[in-house]
Amino acid sequence: MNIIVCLKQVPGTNDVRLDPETGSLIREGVPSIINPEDRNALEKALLLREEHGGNVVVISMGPPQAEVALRDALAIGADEAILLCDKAFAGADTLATSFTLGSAIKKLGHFDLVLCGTKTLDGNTGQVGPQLAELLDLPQITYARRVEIQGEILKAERVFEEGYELMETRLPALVTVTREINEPRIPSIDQIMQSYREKEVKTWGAAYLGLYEHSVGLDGSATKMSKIYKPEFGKGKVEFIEGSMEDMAQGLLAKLKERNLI
Amino acid sequence: MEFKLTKEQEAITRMIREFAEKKLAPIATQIDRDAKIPPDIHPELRKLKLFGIPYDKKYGGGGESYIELVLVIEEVAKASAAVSVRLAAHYLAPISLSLYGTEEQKEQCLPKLCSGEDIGSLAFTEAATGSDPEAITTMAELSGDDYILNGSKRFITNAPLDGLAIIFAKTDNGVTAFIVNKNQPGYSTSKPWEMMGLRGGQVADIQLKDVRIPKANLLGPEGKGYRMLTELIAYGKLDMSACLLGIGGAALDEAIKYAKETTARGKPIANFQTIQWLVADIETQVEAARWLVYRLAYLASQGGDIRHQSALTKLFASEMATEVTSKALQVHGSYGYTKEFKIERLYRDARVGEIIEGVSEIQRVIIAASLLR
Repeated sequence: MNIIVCLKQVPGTNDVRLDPETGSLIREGVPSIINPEDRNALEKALLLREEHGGNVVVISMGPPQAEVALRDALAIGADEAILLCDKAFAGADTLATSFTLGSAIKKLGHFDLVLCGTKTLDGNTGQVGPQLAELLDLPQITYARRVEIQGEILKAERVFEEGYELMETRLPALVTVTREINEPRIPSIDQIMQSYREKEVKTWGAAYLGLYEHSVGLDGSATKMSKIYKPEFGKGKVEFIEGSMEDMAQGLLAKLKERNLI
Repeated sequence: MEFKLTKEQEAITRMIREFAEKKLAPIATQIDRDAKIPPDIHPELRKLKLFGIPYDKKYGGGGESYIELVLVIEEVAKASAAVSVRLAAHYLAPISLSLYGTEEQKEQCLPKLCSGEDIGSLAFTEAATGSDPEAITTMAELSGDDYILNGSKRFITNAPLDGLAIIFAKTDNGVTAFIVNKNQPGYSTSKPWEMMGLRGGQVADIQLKDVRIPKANLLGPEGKGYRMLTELIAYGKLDMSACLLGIGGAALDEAIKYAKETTARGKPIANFQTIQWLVADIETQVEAARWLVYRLAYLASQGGDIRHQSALTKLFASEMATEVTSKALQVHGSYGYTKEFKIERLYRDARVGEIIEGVSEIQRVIIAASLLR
């Protein structure tokens, strides 16, 4: 079973600070990590490899320093790592990111399964997995909290607020996973050392993938960010509406009507 | 001169921190309260290969240096100083073997120590010794091809845990080191001492009653045990300094967190200069200790005599840990004096630093002696 795991290097904090003048993220002093749900996707890939055999390839689009996240993934157990790194990829929105990742996956050739985290800590859009599935023309299951494979069939529990759906699809497919699917393993000291001393992270650029600059990065993006800012928290009163989903929705509706907001 | 970790070392720090935050931090209060490390933690430490980091791969070690070892101990100590002390005390046994063991002794003992199947201890201290080697009363008498050990040892970390102990006893030729299996007939331990801090470290007394040791288990030259001890304990001071660095780093984290989250008169107390000064002092002291500890680890990895440098590093790191945990507790005000906050535990854990592996006063004597002789 050949499995591809897409992962992103993100700042390992919820307390993201922004440069007030440029609007860019202040990375100084903030350690970078593999996006937590992507770690779950990698863990699932490794568990499936242990069960069915095969190969796990991790792939990430990012700046040169994202190599660290891929080295971590190799230490954790991935067989191969590919960094999609090119100045032309900078400023990509989720569409351009999916397009670049999809192009690299096509270049890799045969695979049975693509696994992604559902969302990233920093972007939190949840768009890359589904867009990637569309670009690769794959069936997709999102928000999976359980995945198992029997022959050519993949079965998954897809979780949502009030329960879960049991779904199944033929392989190849793309699945995005949630944090509850498993507990990611931590590599031993010698696995960490091996990932740096004995393993390779391949770097692929736009030219290698045969991509034109206007189709990737900022130029290939369908959306443009006009401003990024951190909301200022005021001193307002916070009220919690409790109860079932329906009670909470009714309660919210009543509050909004009370203030003539709807 | 390069003051930065390699990418591999950064990765070790990152992964061990993740392990410590996920697996140790949530149970650190329980370990402290029960004075016991839950049995499922040891296999986790073994899986990460934390018991033989600087030793040769041919003996089952990691083939890395003391720098990687202190990074691991530091990160573990940030979450649970008790667990870090199990590691630090363990290492005294493989250090003894790597420095003084014969090839046969290394081949026989190091693989199990490096894998963590055997947990190491080093036993010199007795009820009346302090740091005086002449006061040792544990005796080793030659009987045919064996030595028979009788006596008792005090305050020995990891003493009740299965594995190997390096035990110092007097022969006709003076203080001598022996490799003793802790499961051997005649070896027994007291109930662990109820300690103020580092609770869970399993510090107990050892009783030795007619413990029969083959001659082959004599470690290093007979009668040179005290000289060996001063060299070995220098490595113990390195590992202990790494524990203290972790405790200091955790105190800094707690002080910052509390200062940012707690408000007074509608503002975070981090806005007040009194708090800012305390936090600034804490970081300054922790960073000074950090580079002493890392440098000592570098020197240890190069080989050679580290007794002078380890004395001054442990002296500084222990006083740093006492002072910064006190300052961080001060940032917390009355809350810091309650068991609701981690800083209360850190304050207790830090205090032993000025006593363990030789009191601060002895460290000063060692430093002065090498400067003024």
